[in-house]
Amino acid sequence: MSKLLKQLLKNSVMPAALMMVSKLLGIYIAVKFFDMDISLGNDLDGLFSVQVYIQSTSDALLANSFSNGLMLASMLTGFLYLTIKYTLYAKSSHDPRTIVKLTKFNLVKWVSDKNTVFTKIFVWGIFLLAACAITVTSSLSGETYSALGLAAFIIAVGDIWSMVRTFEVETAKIYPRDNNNYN
Amino acid sequence: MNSASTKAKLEKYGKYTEPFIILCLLALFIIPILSVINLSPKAIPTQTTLPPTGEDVLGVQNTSGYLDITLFEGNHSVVTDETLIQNEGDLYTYSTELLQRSKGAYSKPVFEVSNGTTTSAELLFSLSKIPNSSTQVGVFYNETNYVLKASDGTIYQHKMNIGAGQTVEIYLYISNDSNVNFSEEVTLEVLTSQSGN
Repeated sequence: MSKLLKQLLKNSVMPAALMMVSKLLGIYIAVKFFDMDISLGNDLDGLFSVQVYIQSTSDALLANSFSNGLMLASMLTGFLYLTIKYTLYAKSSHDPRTIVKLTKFNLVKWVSDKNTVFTKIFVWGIFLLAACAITVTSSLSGETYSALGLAAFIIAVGDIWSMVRTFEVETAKIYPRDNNNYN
Repeated sequence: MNSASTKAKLEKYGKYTEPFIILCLLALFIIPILSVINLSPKAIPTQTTLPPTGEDVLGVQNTSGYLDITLFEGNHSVVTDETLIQNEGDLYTYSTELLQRSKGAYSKPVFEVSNGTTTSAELLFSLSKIPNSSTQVGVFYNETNYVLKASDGTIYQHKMNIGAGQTVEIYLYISNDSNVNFSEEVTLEVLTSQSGN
């Protein structure tokens, strides 16, 4: 079996679970904290047969915004953690000052951990992109605050840029550019 | 030796499992996304059914205050929090909350209509707030059930005639084919008018 497939499968479980759990947790906290009246509906229209209903439109807007915000924050945290780790690792390979700073803060072992690989960043990036897309769509259909939709859009742009940049750095290892040798 | 041969077999047959692994991977991406979309709560949809304009459809002139509609109240295992409000003279709004219930049919006397005039009157029953589930809702009187919302979601209106000096007890009839594990609100509108007969 392909090693890449195995790695992708292994690395996809955590972000998938976190996405669902954070959304559920967000709804639970919103309902409990703001004392909302929630019910389940068995609708046969559309793709889903079970739908979560909230009594008023304003409560539904608040619950959606809160849960989407929490989901976005948790996916962004995971992605940023891996990206920062990878960036420091990549930078330390050709910048001695970075190694000195990392040693000073006792972060060398953390940065050079073999678990920081491109597939992990790629998978987390895809899930973050999906979370952003859900938030933006929800905001456009009036179910989430527009400020959150805008923030999700900006995060999505940053996410795509980050993934492309990471891909460029990885491919530069295999196909180095000539001017790298003369830095 | 055994582990080496097992490993060799896995390597040999592993390529045949790859399509299924790819499907699992796709499912691992798609299922959380669909779950999150489905988990997004929505506001309960309210459906308003406008009653027909009195004079053209009923063919009579509406007058006010000639019918008495009295709420029964009382305790019931399913029908709770009943209110009856008179709006705009001829329109009555009855609201109730249906509690969670198991499969079956339920009925409760909800209000009594008394025609104290010398002419017969007409009542138009319609639902303005319907339950989201496949619950069937109707009004029951004179041993007959008149469906206002069918299990498939179709909405109906019902016209009832009440003679001069008559009193009729109206029951709310609820029926569901499966257990309903949540509360629902139902609002019934009753438009009254006097008939020329």
